[in-house]
Amino acid sequence: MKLHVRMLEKLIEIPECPADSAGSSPLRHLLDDIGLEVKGVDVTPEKGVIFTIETLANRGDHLSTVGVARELSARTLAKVGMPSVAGQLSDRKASILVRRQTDACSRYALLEMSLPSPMPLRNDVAAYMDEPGKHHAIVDLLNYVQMEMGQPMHAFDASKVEGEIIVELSTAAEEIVALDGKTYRVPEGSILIKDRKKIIAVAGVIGCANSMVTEGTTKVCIEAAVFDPVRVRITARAMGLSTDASYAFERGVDPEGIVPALKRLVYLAGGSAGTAKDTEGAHVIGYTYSESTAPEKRKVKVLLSWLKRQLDLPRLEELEVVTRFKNLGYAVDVAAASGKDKELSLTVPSWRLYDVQNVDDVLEDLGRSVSFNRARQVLPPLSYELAERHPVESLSQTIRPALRGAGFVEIISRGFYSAQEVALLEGLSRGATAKHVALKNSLEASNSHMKHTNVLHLATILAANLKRGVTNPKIYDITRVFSSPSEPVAATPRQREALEYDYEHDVLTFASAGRWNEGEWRKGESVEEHARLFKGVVAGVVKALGSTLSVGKSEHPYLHPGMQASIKMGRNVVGVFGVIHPAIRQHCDLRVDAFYAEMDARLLCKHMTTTSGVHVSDFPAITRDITLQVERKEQAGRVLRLVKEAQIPNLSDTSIVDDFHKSGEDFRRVTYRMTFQSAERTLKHDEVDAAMTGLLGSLQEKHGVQMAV
Amino acid sequence: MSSDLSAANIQALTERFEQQLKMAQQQQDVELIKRDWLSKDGIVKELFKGLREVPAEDKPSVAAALNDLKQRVESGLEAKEASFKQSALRKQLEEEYLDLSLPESTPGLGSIHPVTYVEERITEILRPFGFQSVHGPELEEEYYCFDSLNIPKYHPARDMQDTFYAETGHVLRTHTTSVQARMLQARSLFEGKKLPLKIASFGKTYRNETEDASHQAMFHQYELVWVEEGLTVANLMGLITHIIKELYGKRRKVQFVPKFYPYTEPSLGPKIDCTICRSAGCPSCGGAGWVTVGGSGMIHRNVLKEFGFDPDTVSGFAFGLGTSRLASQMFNMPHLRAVYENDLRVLKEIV
Repeated sequence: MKLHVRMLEKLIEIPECPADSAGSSPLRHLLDDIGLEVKGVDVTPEKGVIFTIETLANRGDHLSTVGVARELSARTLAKVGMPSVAGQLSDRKASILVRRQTDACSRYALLEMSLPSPMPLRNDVAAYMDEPGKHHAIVDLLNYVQMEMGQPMHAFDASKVEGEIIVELSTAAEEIVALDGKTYRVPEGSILIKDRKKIIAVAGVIGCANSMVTEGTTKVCIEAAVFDPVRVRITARAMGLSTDASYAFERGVDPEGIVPALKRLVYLAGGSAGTAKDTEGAHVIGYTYSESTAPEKRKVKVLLSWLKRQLDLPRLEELEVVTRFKNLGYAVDVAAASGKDKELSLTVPSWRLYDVQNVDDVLEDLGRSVSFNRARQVLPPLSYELAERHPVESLSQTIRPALRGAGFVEIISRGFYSAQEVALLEGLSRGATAKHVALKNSLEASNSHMKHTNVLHLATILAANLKRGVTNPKIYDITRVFSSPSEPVAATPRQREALEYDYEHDVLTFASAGRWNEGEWRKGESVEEHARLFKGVVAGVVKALGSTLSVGKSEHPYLHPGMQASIKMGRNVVGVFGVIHPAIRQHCDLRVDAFYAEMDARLLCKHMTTTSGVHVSDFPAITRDITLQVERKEQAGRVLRLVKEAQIPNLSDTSIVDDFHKSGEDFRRVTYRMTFQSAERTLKHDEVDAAMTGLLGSLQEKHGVQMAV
Repeated sequence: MSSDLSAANIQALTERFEQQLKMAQQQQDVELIKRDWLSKDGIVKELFKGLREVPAEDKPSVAAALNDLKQRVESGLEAKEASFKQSALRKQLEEEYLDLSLPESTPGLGSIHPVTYVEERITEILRPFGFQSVHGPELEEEYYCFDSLNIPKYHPARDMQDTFYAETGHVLRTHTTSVQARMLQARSLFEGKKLPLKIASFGKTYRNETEDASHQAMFHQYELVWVEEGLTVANLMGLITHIIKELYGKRRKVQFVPKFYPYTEPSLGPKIDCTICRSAGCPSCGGAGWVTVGGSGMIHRNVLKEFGFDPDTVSGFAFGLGTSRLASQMFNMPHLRAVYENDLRVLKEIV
């Protein structure tokens, strides 16, 4: 809402607001402090200071200068000088009959006026118009009165209204041409203003071109009414319109504000009731008013002690409280309550019937007028209960040191991706992955779907940082991914497990590209070297979770088919890692190979353990190296798993110490080192040799593993 | 080999040894002298063999002279050897050089994101109050996001929350207050409305915005809910101020301005003095010198009623702090977009 400071200071004494420092002026801070947050400041020599104020969604009464003045008055205790409403409405009925056929319009007033031609606009009104002279002067006057008093009004050219005015709900969708010349479809159930032949306005939203006031208009029907906020909102939304009128009606206009607003209009238009046509001013011809019921006289009763306790202001005086409520428009009756306490009976002003319902509302009014910052702040008591952490938070805390120590920087990726990216991923997965969740109304094309993997985002962030000159981007992100479940979801409330959601789950993801180390000016690592370093980080994460990493085969569609592996904690697959698929790299403009790991947080939490103790042997170890043939595209780690499964006594460790591929051969020579060690005694070479013979025989016979020649 | 054990001969041998030692120029010479004098068939051993033939009355003095000779030989050789080793080491050190001004090579020290940092700090600050940490879905049902929170379908308050609607029938949660609704319901349905209810929840929230420097479709909130008998507005403000002061230091100013949120009454917006401009007014704070860092209020009685709690006996407060905003203020980031730019040059240095 635009608040003209010059208009405001006509109504109430206000704090300083110099034009050259309006943005940091005492008035600006006061407005902020009473909840009328200043979002913008404009200063012009002609109009002075204009604040753009963000009003609260429940306070339709703030959409006028009078409303702002009242709020200031409750704070500063200065009096509000209301605008003159000395204009007279006519005792004679308007010549056009009004038929109000729906209670969705609880009040309807029609003021019939003749206008001078031409009708000049008063200078004091023109000063507040954005484009004075663009519209007929009566239209500017209506806008001015709304700005001042908050009542939206509409003017029809009386000569274009045929027969009578009917206010009714539409029973079917209608099409209209509005004042802005555009055609709109008005939904069924809207409040329409019609004459005998046509729709002349969509109530509370916009008038129709067929009855609009033009330069030649000499007689108008001014409509001032109260329309149901919800109906107006539904209609305006469906029409894709938000006008000053609809904005006000949606938030609720004062049911008792119609008459003062019309009188103010008559006063400003220079018209008088029932007299001969004035050559300079407008002339009231007739006036018709219709209402459903008188506005409710709502009362809220509240104990003074309760108000003081809530704000922890024990010294707040009754007189101050009563004065502030009165300045807000409440009628206040004070009665004795138990002890020294007092009960305030507050009659809610008509312009607050939309939002003041109970003691909490009046407490808010008092806090606002006193200033919440005057209230004493009291820290609630501490607790001896142990704070319970969410499993994903515990997981994050456990793995962060492993990632941080390896140089990984936490980033936060977006939750979305675009339809184009969905097409790319679906092309790669050939429909094998879970169904994407699409968003229906995203304003940005890049936000049309929820992500179900983080690979695109991390690849994009790696690429951006390489372009920024970061030579070794290494990033991680614990994030939520989304997909539609294959089974229908029950609608009834469930006490869910902490990590169970139907459409989403958390994943730990990390990625790296470029060099491994920073500050390195020599040649970077090969893909193989980078792979081993990256796998080291995967192992570090798994170790941090109390387990040992093993890997298996995987066929993840977003990774290079020949350069990926599943991540296992013990025997449990918890994720996948490998080189990002070239098609994704290309899409993200990532020009170097990059590694990516994605691990399911639910599974990590499930298999996470704590180390209970470590036992080391003081007896010497004996090692034996053997070189085996491994097919070129086979995982050498398979043998490690087979050896482990063989459960050889005293075999304490197995590792790979060499991997050699001779050009032209379709197998590699992989050297494995077996370490034997007993916790109780020194082993003998003979028994180790015997164990090795047995192991090799078993590998050859059962699994077809061959010694390399 | 001489076995003359006369004092004169021993003295002559001593002088001969010292002369040889003096002439030794390198470690190899020392090794040769050592072989001549101290090996199994060296001069010293041979002299000791002759001791058997020395009359008994002379043995003590001859043996003492031989021991003296042996000791002189051993210590002389040892000293000479040490001297050569020292000079060899000196020479080696003079030749060796490592240019440590060349760039280091390190995987670097990683970091946590500023938003995570703020989340963890708040969690630590709240620990003594015994809050249970819970997470909720981001793809949320309208009931938990709006309807149960006193936001009817056609209320203008829904304008405040430009909402993403998913084809699944869900919305993307516009605030973490939806977790509050879920926890109130769970406590009501499954735990006999046990009080106090103290929960903390943080995560991503979404608004359907056209994105620019100050508008993001995604941001982070830290939600806190406390339901118990007798809680007041003063308690709410006290706890928020405590968090802010713990985060930013005691000198940080906090103020509360009235706001409207359908799920709280009264509703308050906590503000802190702007770090970027030190309250002088800048684009980050809209010229006001103050930055709103969240929304808060006493839980609306309609929300309590919705989940079966009696608002006349039970009260509660809730607030959602904008952790993105808190992070931008903590690390002097002039606009929210900077928080989510994921520029490693910045993130590596921050935390």
